[in-house]
Amino acid sequence: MLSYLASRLVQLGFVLFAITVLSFALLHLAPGDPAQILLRNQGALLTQTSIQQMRAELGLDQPLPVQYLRWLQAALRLDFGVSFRTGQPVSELLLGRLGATVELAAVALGLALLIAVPLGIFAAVYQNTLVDHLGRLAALVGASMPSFWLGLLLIYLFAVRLGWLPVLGRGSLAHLVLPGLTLALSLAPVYMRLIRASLCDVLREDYIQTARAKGASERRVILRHGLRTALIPVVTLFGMTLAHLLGGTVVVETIFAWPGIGQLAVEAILNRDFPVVQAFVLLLSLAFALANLAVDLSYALLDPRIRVEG
Amino acid sequence: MRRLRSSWKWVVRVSGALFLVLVGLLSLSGLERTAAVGHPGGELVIGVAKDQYRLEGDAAALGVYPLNANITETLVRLTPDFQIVPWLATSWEYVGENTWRFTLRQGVKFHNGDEMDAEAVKWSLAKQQRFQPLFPAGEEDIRVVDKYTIEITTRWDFRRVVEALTHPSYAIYSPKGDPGRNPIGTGPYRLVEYRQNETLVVERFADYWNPEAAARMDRLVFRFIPDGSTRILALQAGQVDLITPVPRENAAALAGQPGITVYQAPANAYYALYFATKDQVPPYDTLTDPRVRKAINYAIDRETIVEQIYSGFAEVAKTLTPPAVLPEVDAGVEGFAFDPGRVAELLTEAGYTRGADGFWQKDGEPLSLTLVSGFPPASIIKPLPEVIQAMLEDQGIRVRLVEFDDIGAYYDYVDTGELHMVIESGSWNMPDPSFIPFGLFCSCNTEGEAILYKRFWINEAFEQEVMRMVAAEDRAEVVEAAVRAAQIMVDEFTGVGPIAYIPNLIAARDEVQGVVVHPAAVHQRWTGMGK
Repeated sequence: MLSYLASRLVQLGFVLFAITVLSFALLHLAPGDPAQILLRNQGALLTQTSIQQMRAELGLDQPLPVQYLRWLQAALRLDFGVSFRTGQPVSELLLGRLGATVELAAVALGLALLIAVPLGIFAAVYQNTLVDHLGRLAALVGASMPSFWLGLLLIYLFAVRLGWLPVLGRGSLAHLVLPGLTLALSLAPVYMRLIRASLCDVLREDYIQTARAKGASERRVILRHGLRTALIPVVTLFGMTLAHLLGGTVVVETIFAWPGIGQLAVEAILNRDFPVVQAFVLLLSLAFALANLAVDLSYALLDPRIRVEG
Repeated sequence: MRRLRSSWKWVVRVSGALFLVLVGLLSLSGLERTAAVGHPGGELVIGVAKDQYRLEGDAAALGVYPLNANITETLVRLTPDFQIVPWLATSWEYVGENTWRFTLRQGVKFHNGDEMDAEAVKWSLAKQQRFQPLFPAGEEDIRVVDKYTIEITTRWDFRRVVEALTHPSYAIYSPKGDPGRNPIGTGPYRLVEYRQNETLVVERFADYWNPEAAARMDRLVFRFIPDGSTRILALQAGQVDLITPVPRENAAALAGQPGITVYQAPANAYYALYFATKDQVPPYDTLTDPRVRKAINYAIDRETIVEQIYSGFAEVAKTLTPPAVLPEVDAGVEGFAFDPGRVAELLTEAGYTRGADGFWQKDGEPLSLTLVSGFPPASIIKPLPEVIQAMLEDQGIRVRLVEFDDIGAYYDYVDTGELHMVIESGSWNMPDPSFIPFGLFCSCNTEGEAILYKRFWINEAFEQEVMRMVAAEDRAEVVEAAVRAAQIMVDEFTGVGPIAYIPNLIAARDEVQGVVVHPAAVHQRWTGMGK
């Protein structure tokens, strides 16, 4: 187990290195010169001199490999440079937003599972009954509704008409409900359908019949024998969703004025704020890689037949 | 079946317990804070667009630009009717040899209790001259004469210094503060708290120098709400008292709601087409023929645009200078009214014939133009480019639309020259009528360096008039040159197609009194508003 973990961590190092090279190259190949965008956003007139000065100030006048090595050298010391746009240290910017993102991701995933797990189990147990069909319809509606529309509808109902919840912003638990619910309602259908499908398969397995024959209660059969195995694909999806949510959810963040990492990333990309984008890509890759690792390790816990080997 | 039901109940119970655990964990983790929204004793909550402050370097300005929270003030102030009035400077005079002398107001206190003096003024102006000067003078050209007098000398006969000093980037700070993280100004409000992308809170400054312009509210809370629809919903829900900017296409619907008023200032901005005429190569050189440029202008029905897209929250434009900025310019230009007959006449004159499909062509090639939009981003300016495209196609002119939501990609595309025209907006934050003509349509900057990517350059005669505007001492001459330059730009050379003048809008709940909208949002004063 430990040697497996060690080899995965070494792999992780290589993957992250490759990603930094790739994202650096792609950023510099994309159209749009950060120096020009900065000058134009400041309303400055573009002259040969002003562009050259700005490029030198941003360190963009050096050859690309030199720029990359400088970045890497600093990044290894956890110094990700300063934002081209605001001049703030990148780590300060990202960490400032990470809290809000984690908060929202946790609530959204929690709510999504609260909705999806019971409904998924219910749909599997009562397969092809009216309940199952209604569940399918609800999942279809939930999955097809765009989150910007759903978000605005929820604000209109709960904040404007009923006045129960704040429209936007961050601060109390009440502020988390609407953005959390908006995200959860778009995530839940996928989980619900996955749990249903997976549990349906598992419930047809011989060992389930064996458990029933042994006289185990139906609750024990479904929850202990059935659900545990059925959760393997769900856990895989959970890992990916978690990493995805940590990358920020631009639409929901924008609608609810939630100061998360997604908005920061989009603005950085539009402004060609290279240091911020580079650090964001690294953070996101790390989140995906670690989530994957955690998912792989959890398989062994859920299904003893699966063994991880180094 | 009974056993199944009991397992279902169990699932519900476990889910309920999990929810409570989640709630408990979140409360324990310190996420529970008091909400920033509320109206205890004299607080005005203002919903504004996204946070665009810079916090480091010479460009740093918190609460000053682009959102002005009235923390700082300038030597001279631009009033809502676009007049310059004495403010932190009581008087000024031109003393010859490109030099101005400003007498500072005595007894003005900074928020830290220090008195504002010439050293602080020099420090503040020098910061802007290093970063992005609006007049040609270096740090050494700003001199302290005595405690209450400074002199500014420009490197050449640039005479629009006083106009430039109204711009909020020339705000006066105490050198003891940090303009980015801790701005110490002389304004009616002082900074209390700033949470990036969330809120900016300011509080009434008790020792403010000007009792006539002192703050009515104890506190202002600016909340950053990037999404326009959410901004409106927050206003309807009463969670903010006032919002700005108001999404223009929703302004009419919002104005019809009980309890909400939409306030409109005279326009200080415009939407216009700029025609690419310089250094264009085929097939992108079609608009080098002035008759085609004029035909485009006659093909656009501006009245319909103003009524249908903006529900009257805009005005038909003849120039790039709205009347609020300088009324003589709009009045002195003939402009273009919608006239399909003139379109046909001009295109026939230019050698085009109308094909069986209704579209104009010459030498077997259709008259097809590329229109690029990207500043402001396409998602904001929509549906104006689409409407213009439809109006031109109605007159037999084919239009290919290229739209960008990404400003970097837009500029890169414009630099390729693969276009006939762009649609852009511009706004006037200074009362200097040469500002936009000089910055966008002339060939060099204030230091005489050539400006790059000048596809929309007008001509020599225009540039001469602009330089006259810049260098004239006499106001009448400035106005005359401004009118003449606009006549060349619009009526004679027709390098642009002005579409609409765009006003600054504020929507407020009816409890809010004393709302006066400044045409230029960066000059907005919040002091007279109260509940």
